[in-house]
Amino acid sequence: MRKQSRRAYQTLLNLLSLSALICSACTAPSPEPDVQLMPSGGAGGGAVEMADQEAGEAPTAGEMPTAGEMPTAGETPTAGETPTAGEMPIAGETPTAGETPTAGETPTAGEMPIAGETPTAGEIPIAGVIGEPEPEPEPEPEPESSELIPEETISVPIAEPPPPVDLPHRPRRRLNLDQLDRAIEQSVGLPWTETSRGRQIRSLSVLSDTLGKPDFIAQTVEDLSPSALFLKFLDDAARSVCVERVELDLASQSGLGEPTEWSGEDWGPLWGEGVPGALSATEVEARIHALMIRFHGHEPTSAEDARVAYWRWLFETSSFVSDAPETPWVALCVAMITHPDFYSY
Amino acid sequence: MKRDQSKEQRLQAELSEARVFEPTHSRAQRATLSRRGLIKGLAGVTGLWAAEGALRGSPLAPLAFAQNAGAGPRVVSEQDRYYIFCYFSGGWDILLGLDPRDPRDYGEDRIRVTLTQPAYDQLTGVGRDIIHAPTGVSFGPHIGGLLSYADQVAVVRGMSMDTLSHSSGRRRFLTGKSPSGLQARGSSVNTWLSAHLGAQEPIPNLAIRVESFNDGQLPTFADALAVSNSDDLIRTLTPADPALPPLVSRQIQASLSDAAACAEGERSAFWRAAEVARQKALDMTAGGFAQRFDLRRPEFAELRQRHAITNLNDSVELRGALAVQAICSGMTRCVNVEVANGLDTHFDNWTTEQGARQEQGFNVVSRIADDLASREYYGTGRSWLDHTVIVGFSEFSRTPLLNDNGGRDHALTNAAFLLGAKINGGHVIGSSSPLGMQPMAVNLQTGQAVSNPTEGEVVRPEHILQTLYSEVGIQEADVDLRVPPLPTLLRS
Repeated sequence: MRKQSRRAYQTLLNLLSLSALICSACTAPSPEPDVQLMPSGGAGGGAVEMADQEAGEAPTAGEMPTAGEMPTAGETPTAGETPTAGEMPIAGETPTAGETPTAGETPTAGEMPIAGETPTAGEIPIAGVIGEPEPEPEPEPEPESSELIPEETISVPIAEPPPPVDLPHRPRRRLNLDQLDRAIEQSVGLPWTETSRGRQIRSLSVLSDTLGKPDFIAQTVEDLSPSALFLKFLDDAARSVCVERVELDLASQSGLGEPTEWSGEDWGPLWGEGVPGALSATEVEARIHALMIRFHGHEPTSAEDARVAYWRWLFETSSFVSDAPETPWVALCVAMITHPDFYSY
Repeated sequence: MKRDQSKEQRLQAELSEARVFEPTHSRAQRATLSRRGLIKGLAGVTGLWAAEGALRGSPLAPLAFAQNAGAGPRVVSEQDRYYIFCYFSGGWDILLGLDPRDPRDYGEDRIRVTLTQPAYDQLTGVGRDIIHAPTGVSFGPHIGGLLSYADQVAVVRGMSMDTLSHSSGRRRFLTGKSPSGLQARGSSVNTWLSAHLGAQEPIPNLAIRVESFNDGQLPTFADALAVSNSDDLIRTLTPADPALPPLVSRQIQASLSDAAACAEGERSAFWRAAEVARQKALDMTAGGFAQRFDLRRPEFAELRQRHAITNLNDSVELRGALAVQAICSGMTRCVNVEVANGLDTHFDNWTTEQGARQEQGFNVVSRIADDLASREYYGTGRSWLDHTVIVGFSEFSRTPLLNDNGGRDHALTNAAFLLGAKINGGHVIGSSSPLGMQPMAVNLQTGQAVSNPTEGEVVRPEHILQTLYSEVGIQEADVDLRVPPLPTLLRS
């Protein structure tokens, strides 16, 4: 009964922490640390304040990281990377293959250790998660049961982490309309067009005035800000070309339509050569990787690449809310085009 | 799509009962959907709904509740202000409108003395003489319908624009600051006023064929929705087509939101701005506002007639009607609208086009004022014109002497007019010099031109903007215009 209620509680936490769930996959450090650091009397020391710990989840002394295990700067859990209940395997549940880091990989900060793995510095195992006990002796007497841990604040000395360093990077710049038009055509294989007075014309040329393309009379510089107007029409473009792409590919695969003509590089259907609803998890994963290269020019570094997690999540949830097997692929296509990695560089 | 709709309805019903549901996928599909994926999916859908609820009370609330704009009870005050900035594009000839010269005093035979050449006799069209309004203010022959508001119009003359470049002059007026090269410095007046007053409007700032700037200092909700014509405005406010199943759309938006919330997105100013803009774009289309601007609809027949709209594709009359509609429907706080164009008459088209197009613009302004004056402001007994300031401006004016081509080139000395709300109408502030129409210093307290430059200050666009800002309580420390307001521009 208690196990059931705890599972229900964890499910509730999951519902309320989507952002944290996804962001926990991020590998880059976030500027704000999630732990509340309190200055201590000792030089260079600090204390992590963990208030209102539930008795059942209070880490025992043997599970607390010791001073020698203090996380390094790169490993400090940061805002958005703090492990949430959703990332923690439920007791008795075996993580799926896709969720387990591959051999040789060290779980990043914020990821909970999996059974059989030794938690690295900076990770705080939670009661209920199977893991190797830490052999280090503890200076404080170990409480016999979790009920003995007072509910008020527990202070543990911890080294003050260095301030987050903003890595040097080039600011993003938006594609101009001509570049965007070509990018859509190259990646989807179709230009965004509409019919006007019986003629097919490129929609971005119709909208060029409104979207700020210079006419070199009244306007000489193109506004490259990611404005609401730009993003609205980008969404329109993405939906239009992605739906058309999928319809063409479905018709082509079923033999009802003409073979797809590609105005750019021949990337093939979004779902590859198979049938959109009958791909295995491995095949879907491979297609997501292919689409990331196709739309964003990113080659995922590993199965646990944070960027893959978004698209995998979108694919799974889209297939969950729709019976049409092609809908998740449309969703992926639209989301990838409206993602800043597509329209900025 | 039918299958999707039925499934969506079922899912919506199940989610509304807050039950955890089992997917009805095939075995193969079930194998691809991990428990974590299921939970994340549910969290995505539920989280979005929760986010909508959480939005209430947030800074984005005005956008979230935009669909209710104008429907609920509204707290009105005599101090409520709305703004329509009417842009005459290309550089107007103020001799034909706001700063005329009597041809009897400025005849062709005295050009070498006066350095001014009204040349009204060369104009084609109706007006060929200066017009004296009953208030004593004189106007050029092409002042058009604005003459009927002579007692309510305040004219600022002898204003220096400090530039002869179209973009620089336009940006100079809009921001009150000299551009850096062609780059606008600071935010434009419509953005400032929208940021200060427009938090409740779904589209606080609308710009129709006029630039608008936000230098990043002001909240993004005040960024202008800038369009070039009514079709694009309607298209902007219309939901995306083709429509995807709503839950799929929500999943897409959720994935983009979460991507933006990660460290890389948080670090990038571009990405942060894009994320805010994406949310704004969603809210704009969700409110069903497009029909309020589709003046082709039958219910707008009277509006079309009132604004003399004959071309429903794009015309200055149509833009004027859109401006009034945006203000009076409670959608917008500030509208920047181009009411005249093609005024850059360097050649003999000055005789045929300058006057006609300028007059067309003044007629649009007078119809805007007529329409505002005819509508009661939320049952207060006052009209919308009592709450709306109309400002007419151009980037600069044209030389007082005709060039060798029979046209006029760019000139620094400019004029502007203001009308409505608390504007002290029926009088003139400042003056251009009798010889050569140069800017003259003005006693800012009295509004009278002074011959001794040390006794006054040359009026510039920032004086006008500062007056508007000071009336609604925007502090000089924020806008940093470094000039005082023109007290005589406002009624005490």
